[in-house]
Amino acid sequence: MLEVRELSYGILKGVSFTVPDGKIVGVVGRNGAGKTTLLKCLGGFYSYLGSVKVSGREVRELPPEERVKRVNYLPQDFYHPFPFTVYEFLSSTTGKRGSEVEEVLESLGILKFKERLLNSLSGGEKVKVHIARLLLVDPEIYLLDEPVAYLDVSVVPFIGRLVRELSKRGKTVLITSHDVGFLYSLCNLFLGLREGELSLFGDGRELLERSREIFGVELKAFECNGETFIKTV
Amino acid sequence: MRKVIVFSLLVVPPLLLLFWDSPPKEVLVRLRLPELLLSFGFGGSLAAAGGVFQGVLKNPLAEPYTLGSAAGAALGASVASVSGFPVEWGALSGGLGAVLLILFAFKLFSDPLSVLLFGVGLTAFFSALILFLYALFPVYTLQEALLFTLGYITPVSLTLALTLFLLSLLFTVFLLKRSKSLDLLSLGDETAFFSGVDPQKERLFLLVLSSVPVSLFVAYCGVVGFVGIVVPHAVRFLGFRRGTLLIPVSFAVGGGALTFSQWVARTVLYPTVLPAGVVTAILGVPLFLYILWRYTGVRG
Amino acid sequence: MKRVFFVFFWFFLLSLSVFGFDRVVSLSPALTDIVAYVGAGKKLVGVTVFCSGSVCRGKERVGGIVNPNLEKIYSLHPDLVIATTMTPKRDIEALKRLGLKVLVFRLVSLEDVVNATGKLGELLSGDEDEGRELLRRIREGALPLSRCLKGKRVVVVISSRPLYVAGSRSYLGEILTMAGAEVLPDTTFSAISYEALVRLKPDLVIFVGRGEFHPPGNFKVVRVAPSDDLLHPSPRILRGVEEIRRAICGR
Repeated sequence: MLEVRELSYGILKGVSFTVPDGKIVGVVGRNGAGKTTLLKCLGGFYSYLGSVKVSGREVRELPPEERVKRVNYLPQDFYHPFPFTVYEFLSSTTGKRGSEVEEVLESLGILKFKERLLNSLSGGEKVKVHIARLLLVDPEIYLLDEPVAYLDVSVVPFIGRLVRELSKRGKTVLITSHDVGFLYSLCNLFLGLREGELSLFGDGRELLERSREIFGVELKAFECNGETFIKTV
Repeated sequence: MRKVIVFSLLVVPPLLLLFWDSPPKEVLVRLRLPELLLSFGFGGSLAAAGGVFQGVLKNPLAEPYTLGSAAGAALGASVASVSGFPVEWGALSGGLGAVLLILFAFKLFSDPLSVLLFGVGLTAFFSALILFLYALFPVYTLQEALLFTLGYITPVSLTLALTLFLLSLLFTVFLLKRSKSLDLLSLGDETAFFSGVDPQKERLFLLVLSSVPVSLFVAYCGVVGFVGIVVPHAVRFLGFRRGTLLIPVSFAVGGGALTFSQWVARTVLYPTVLPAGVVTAILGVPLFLYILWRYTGVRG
Repeated sequence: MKRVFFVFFWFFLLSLSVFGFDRVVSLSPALTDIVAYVGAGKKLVGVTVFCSGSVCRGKERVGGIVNPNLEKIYSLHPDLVIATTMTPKRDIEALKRLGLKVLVFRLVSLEDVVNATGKLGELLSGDEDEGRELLRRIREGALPLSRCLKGKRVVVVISSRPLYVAGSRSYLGEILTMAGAEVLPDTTFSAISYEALVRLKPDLVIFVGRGEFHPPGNFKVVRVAPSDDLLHPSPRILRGVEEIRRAICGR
């Protein structure tokens, strides 16, 4: 369970909400609304005001080794100026080695990159490597900041399946994305931010109803061959 | 193969510096041995510090010379020597003061190039203050100030040289114990934080640990550039990428590089002695430009 | 007992003057001049790379003034190394650690030059009067200058870019003061601005530097060809004084 009370930091102003275990939460809002700041606060990266509790424990007060296992974050910044192989990256960030690392790489279909240098990979491949890091740590709460921004369309459904599996295992996942359609088909809960304030916390129907308030444009859902598409009106 | 390269860089320059021209025993013990300890310890500390600066500031062009902490130490040493304080304390406070300024710049500017430019400004400012100081106190000649800002290695007593060398080894061991933090910080603050280290604290810690030996050597040998920037990149290129290898191998190769430069400085225009910093610049700048070109290429 | 001690003491002193200091390394061209002046030029075994006079012909070169080659010096097995305060302290200390005897001289004022000459004369040729004799000869040489310099405000410029002057407390200034000139500014050697030069209102500027000198005001400039005779704080100044006399009082 993730409990957030009166969270303030930077642009964020008094954000409060509670997410039960196993939920997939889509964090939406316009550019600069505070989505990334919120995710980083939830991970304890910033010294925020208010409280963020994971399973009843305040995130900022957890010892680092325990903190990273409770809640972890997929960053957006993939500038790696120094050479590290994928394996070196994963073993130095997680402390895991050998077959454990290989299994996760295999499950993401990137085992062939194991000895490649991180800075020689494409953006999408880098995202997968960072996801591999999260899977190796396997925290209670996954904070995914724009996981599909760098990926080509063929990989997006794969990420969706991955997130659903996590949810089935009782993990909580918070995802930011500008691809509202992707979030709409994936998430059970939506968290809308408008200039740092919580303006929505509810299901997909509410997201569409209040879309003008959050995004400044109206969104509508269309059904086609059993699939849902989101369009601006 | 790469082990052979490192081993020869570690062994050949010291042998060259010690036994070139088969010196008499007195020269070997009282001049060349302290000279070797100074140049090897200084070069090693510079290269290890270069690796640390680059990693924790996530900046391929960072090192004590480009970011101004070496010049800060030189200024501190100059101030101490004209005001009668021990030069070591002056150099330490100057070097660590500059590290704090660099950390401030790192917080202020988000991109590596701005931080680098800040360092260039800092270096120019400190060097100007050194020259000003030497103009103010005519006991010191301008040539001496110039040699100091160019990195001129004069042998000190064997005891002092040995003490400095052992200190540089000790601090390298301290760095080695923190090598995991170095790896994580070089992957970015977010990745580091979510792998269980406190980026701010570790960055300060690593910068201070690596600057202490560099500052102490600067107090005696002046400012030597380009060893700290070129050596860690070469070492990474040879495949020693993680901190546990990067730090000790950089120390060995950097020590070898400065020892070789000092040998060249003393031999090439015999009997005139050149500042070792001039030699490292001549040998290092082409490599520096190559690194600059490569990294701007990767980013763009 | 006391008597035995004195005998030993005298024997010690004698042995010093007879056997001491036959291999001298000089780390300053001016000191090299002084050694030559006191007639001990053949005792020099090492000189700097800057030395060009006949005294240095065939001598080993031991590097520069501020960057001497310590190993080269040691390899010559000198019994005395002489240096000026221009040579960094660290090099002096390293030489001392090698067990070499090092004497450091300050060579800025006329008194410095005279004292150094006296000391080196005493040590190297056993003549204690070299210093006093030099001072007498310089006085003698400066006397004819007073005919053309008496009461004049004089600035001695030794470099035009940057403007670098020898002031009243330098050996050059002191010699001209002997000749009755009022030497400006009150300093040893220093870099000054062109504006400061104008404000000094000199009657005469003596330029002994290389290259061009464009006077920033309406004052008389006399060029003296730059030579080591003028720029070395050493007995060569005797010839330097003569060169100045020829240039100023002329014909």
